[in-house]
Amino acid sequence: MATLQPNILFLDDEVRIVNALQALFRANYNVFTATTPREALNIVKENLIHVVVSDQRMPEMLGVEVLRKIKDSSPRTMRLLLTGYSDLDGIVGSVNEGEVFRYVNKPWNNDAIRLTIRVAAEAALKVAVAAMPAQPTGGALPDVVVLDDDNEIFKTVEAVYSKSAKVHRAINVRQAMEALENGNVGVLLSDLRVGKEDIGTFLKVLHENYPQVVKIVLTNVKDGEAVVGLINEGQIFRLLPKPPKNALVKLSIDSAMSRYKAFRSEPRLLARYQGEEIRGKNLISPHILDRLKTLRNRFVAAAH
Amino acid sequence: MAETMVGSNPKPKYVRRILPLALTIVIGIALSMAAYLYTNEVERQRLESEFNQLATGRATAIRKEVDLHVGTLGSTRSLYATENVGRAKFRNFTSDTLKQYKSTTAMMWIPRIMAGDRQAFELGAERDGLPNFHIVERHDDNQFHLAGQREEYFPAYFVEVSGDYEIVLGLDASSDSAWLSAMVQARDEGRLVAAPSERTTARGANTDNTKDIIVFNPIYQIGLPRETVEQRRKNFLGFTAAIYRIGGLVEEVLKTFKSADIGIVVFDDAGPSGSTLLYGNALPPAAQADSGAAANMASGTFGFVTTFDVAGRKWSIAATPSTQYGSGKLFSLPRITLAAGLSFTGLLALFFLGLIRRTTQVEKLVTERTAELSTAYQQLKESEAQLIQSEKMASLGQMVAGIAHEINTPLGYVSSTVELLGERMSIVNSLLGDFESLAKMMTAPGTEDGGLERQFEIVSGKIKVVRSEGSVQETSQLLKDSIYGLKRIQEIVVGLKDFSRLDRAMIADYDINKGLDQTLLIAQNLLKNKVAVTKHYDKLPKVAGSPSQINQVLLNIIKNAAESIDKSGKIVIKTWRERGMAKVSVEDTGCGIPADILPKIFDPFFTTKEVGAGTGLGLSICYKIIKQHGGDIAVSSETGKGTTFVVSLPMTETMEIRKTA
Repeated sequence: MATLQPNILFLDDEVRIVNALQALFRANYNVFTATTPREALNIVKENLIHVVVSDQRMPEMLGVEVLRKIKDSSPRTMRLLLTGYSDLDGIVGSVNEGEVFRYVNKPWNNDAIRLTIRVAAEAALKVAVAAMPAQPTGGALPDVVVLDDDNEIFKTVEAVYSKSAKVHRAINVRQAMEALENGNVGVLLSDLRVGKEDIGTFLKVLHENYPQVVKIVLTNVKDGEAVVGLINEGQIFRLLPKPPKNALVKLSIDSAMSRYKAFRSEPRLLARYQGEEIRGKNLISPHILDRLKTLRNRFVAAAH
Repeated sequence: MAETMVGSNPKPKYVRRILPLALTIVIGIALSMAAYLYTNEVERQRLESEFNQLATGRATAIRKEVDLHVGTLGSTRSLYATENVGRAKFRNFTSDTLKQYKSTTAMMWIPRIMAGDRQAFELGAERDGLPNFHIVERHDDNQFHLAGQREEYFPAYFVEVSGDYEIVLGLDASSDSAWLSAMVQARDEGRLVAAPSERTTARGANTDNTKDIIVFNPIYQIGLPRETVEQRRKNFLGFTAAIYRIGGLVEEVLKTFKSADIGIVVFDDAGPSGSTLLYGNALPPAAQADSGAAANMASGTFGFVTTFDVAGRKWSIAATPSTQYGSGKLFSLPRITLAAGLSFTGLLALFFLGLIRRTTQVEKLVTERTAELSTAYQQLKESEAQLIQSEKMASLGQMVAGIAHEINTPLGYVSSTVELLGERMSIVNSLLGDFESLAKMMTAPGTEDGGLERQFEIVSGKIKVVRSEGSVQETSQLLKDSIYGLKRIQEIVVGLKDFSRLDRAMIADYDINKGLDQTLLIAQNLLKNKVAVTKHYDKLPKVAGSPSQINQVLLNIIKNAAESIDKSGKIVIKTWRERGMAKVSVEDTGCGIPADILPKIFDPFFTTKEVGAGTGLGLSICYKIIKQHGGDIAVSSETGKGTTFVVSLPMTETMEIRKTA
């Protein structure tokens, strides 16, 4: 029976945290603990760890960095960040570098973290994962939607992909929906606020219904809490600052296309990107919500 | 607001403004007039001396000419130094003179004829080719009559004239009283004597309105003495005489001068009835003058008079400038001066007028700008206050971040443990219930053995679960951890309270070493896992100051030190006393501060962080705080090696502390 239990690793430089977590999970999981990043990396090297939960501020290395290394060496491991205080840099790093499944604040709620870790562990058990290639391989590239009222962003993306992929321009949610409904969209590039529309909630609801579209956020909004919500509920792939650096945008879109292709070839992977229950879903108009549900059904139909 | 300021006291301002203008005009006009008068006078003097020069030239020339003319008469003596001067000889002698000297209209020989000799003389004259020759005289009817009886007669006998001038032969010269006195004088004094020549003596083309003169030249017998009057009277023969047309003479002279705008008047001053006008090229009346000033000058201001002797008479030559004299150049300088002065005054007045206008405009502008500036200053002050506030908030935010982390970590495991213990308590609770049931079953009569056994199994099974995998030890460990965590939270909260104790208030017993410890506690989040802090505290007396402010300074410095260290490093904190000051040094092994920006680090708004990342006020506020505490803050740094900040605070407890802003 013990062998069927998922392996879970807790990393925190405060041993009492690790102790508390171990007490909480040891009944249902095979718990590993570490108080230094090095220790943790060694454990990951020697064991198939399904879920890792790391502190952010530690000597030697930041949690985000540890998670990036684990992502590279053990792509199957689901990564969670458990932090006492979140600075924006750390949050952005957890998206772009750590590609975390959840960003959890201390103090945590035992039931909530149990649920989160259960979901993570189940996803990790479901399918073995290879490292995602940085460039999409084989076949045509998916469409890209640029949802921004700043035409420069569209031009930049258009200039890069005009030959290889279709780039849609949307200056509001309605136009973005049209592109999603009519095209073979794999990547959505968007700000968090376009015109007067709150795109953040749209991205979360989109993820809930149509998770295979990989979402890149391009913004100068510096609201850490909002970004945490986008990670946990919307599973955004990248968060890039505005004005964007072209090379970074291209790199991000390439990786996003690669991930989209992985989703297409192995839909089970989507289990690894489940979002939390969305708060404030009612911010989205029912009409858009309906259209998103239709999209979901199309996806479900396509999967079968 | 601007208008009320300008309008508040308008009258003195107006006067003050208008005064220079009025003064300029008054003084300008006065100066112009003075300059005009002065240059006028100078010019007048110059013109006068120039005029005098010209007039002198003319007078001298006239005098010379007169002398020349009269001199020719004198030369007739040489004729009469010879024997038997006859009519032909006389004509011969005088013809050249008459030709050469045009203004000599007549030359005569006037012999003295004693009364007894009259008849013989008249007969002799007939023989000499003059039929009906008689000695005649002119009467009041302007007709000639035979001369009356008298001792002597002086008939004009040889008469040579120039042009159509006519003299009646035999006219007795002594019949003219004016001539007679001249003749007597000439004879007695043995020299040339002139007399006015009445026109009655002649008919001729004397068209000008001037007088002729006649000059008598006494002739004595050759070889006889003439030293005394008696001798001269005794040896006297007669006169040679010449009539000169003075007008012609003067005009001839004046012709040789270019400028005609000088009026010349010649008077004979020695006449019996005062002066006699001999010549006058009469000036046009003053009314003709086109310039009042010139006329004024010409008529009165200057003139020239010179006198000289002509054949025993005093002549005076008067010269006056004509109204036109110097009108071209005359007074142009004073006029130009006046015009220039007035123009300058006008320009100056215009300039002042412009200045007044501009001053008014500038004042208006200044008022406006001042209002703008004070508004801007107000805004700046407000925004400075806002910035200082935002700097405080920013550092507070950072601190809160750190402190939140510090508190959230223990809070994390404590709350998790408490929740977990709650869960475990429910197991213990149900175990207790099972125990109770077991106890009841054991004591109650009639309990089945099987039931008791089952209940026992349940209880021991649950005990196993509770005890399983060290649950009890684990729980007690978790409780210990939780107690530790709560203590830790308490420490941080107390530290925070100490750190910002009595915000802004001054206390007399601030302990620097304690303040440093509190600050390190607060900053621990920045230092933890990265910086090794070494402390060398000296015993220090308390200092007066605001704990929250001094702690803010210490925190800022320690924070900077921590931030300057990239991966790991050291901070050495020392305290000591030196010359009445308590000193704190914070030395780090960070990246250091480049020499070119080191002098700027205390400047407000200086920052090396990205825009928006820092207000650039941190160290400037530190500097201000320490200065307000009467202390000093110094820095030394070496790029790549580290930075040392030294804060000095006065130890005197009685020190007066300036109120903070």
